[in-house]
Amino acid sequence: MEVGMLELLAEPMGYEFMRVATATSIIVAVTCSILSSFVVLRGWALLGDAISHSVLPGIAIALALDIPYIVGALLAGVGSSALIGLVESRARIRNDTAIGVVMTGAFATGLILLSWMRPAVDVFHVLFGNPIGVSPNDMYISAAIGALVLLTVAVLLKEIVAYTFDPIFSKVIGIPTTLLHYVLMILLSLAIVSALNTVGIILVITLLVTPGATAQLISRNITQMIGASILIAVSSAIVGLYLSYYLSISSGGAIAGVATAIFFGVLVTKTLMRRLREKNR
Amino acid sequence: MYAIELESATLRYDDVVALREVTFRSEAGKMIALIGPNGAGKTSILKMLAGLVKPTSGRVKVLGKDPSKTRGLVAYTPQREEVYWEYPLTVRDVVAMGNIRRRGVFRWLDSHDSRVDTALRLVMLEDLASRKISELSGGQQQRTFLARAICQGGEVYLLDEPIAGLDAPSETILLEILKTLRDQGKTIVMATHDISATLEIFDYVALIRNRLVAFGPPKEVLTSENLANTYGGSTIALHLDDLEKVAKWR
Repeated sequence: MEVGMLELLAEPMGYEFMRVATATSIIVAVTCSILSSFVVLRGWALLGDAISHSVLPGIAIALALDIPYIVGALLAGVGSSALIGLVESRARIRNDTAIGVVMTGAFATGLILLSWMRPAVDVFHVLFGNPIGVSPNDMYISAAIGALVLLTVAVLLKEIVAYTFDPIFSKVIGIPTTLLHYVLMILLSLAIVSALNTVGIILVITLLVTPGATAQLISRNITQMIGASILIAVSSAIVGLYLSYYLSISSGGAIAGVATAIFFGVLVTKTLMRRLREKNR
Repeated sequence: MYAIELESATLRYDDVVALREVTFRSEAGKMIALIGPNGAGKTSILKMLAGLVKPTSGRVKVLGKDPSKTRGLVAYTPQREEVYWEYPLTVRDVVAMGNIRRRGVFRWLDSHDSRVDTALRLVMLEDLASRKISELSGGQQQRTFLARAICQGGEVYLLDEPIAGLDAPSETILLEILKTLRDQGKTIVMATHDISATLEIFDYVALIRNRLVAFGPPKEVLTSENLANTYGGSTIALHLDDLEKVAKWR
């Protein structure tokens, strides 16, 4: 008997853990992809990567002090972005160099701490995610973070767009740009924390960069870009989770892989369409 | 009251002196050109006037106040390379940013505001209002910036290298718009590393080379001696052609 398409789609949803995993992945995809547009437009891909890596020592320290890991991760994320700014201005080195130094240093610290303390947390899951191990409680935390990110971006949209487009103009006209910068760094750190369980801190950068990059290829204005970015990220999360269920492959890897495939798919299609148009002219 | 005023303004970055003891002032409704080679400190002067950096010593005043207290009254347009032109925004979207203070928090910008239309008309970009900024020429990008400043409604316009890389017709259009603004009583401060005959339309010229070489009306200031002191003996050859032009209208 042939299995219908609908049954293929319905079967995984018969399990509680898959429902929670899917819901959480969708929430995380929305959270990260809203910020993705600004990460891409402001050239923060590497900075986002640095913040995500810096979250590791924050988690380790939080576990050691027995405080919620989300607090440690958040402090480490914001702290690392401040440290990068400080290193950049004090040592008078280029931004990407400062990021490289801080990012690897923080990540190394995290690895040392975790290997030394040997906590009951699986480092592999922190690094690469484990959506099927997500508890409903984790899901609620991700949902709360997602709501906060969505609300903040909605309220401050014009300031965020002005600042990420032209920081000097924004400062002169009177937008508190330093404050806004750190608000964005906090949102980025929160988004990364919310993605810990689903894609992990290594692959979260895919959700923070790739949906925005893909959306930029096809958008005329910023609201379109944010919308397209969300759509792409959510599709990647859903398709990725199904692939991981049926092919028994890493779910974080599958989600990130689908997002990457969509990017190249759109890029190739766009290039071919342009060629075709030029030929017909 | 002067529109802009620098009094022995010195600016140091660590041990590098960007500007030493610069003193000049201008009343409102004038066009001032800051001229000097790259790295001479022109942008530093603009940044001090904008309140982005504080002088290490000396005094800077804009509209009689400390520059940190003139938010909204000073419009700044950075060098074109400072922004990412692939940002998905239309000309109208960028111009509407000038309204950002007026809208206050919690309200999105309205790109179809009447101030936006007025500004677009003044810089002659009405027809390109819905165009993506990545599809504009350099001159049109610069006029978009200028329209944003007009929409903001500033009294003092600080323009960093607006004519760099523009062709002659675009430069003429831009300077004509600046003249219109001046005639409305606005003060224009423009940095440029090019010496050209068009500088004649400015009321004052400040020659800068990490200090003030000369300040005054262009006809008095743009002498070959002053220019040699500004650009240095070796690079002056590059500007001989311009010097001839300058000499013609002296």
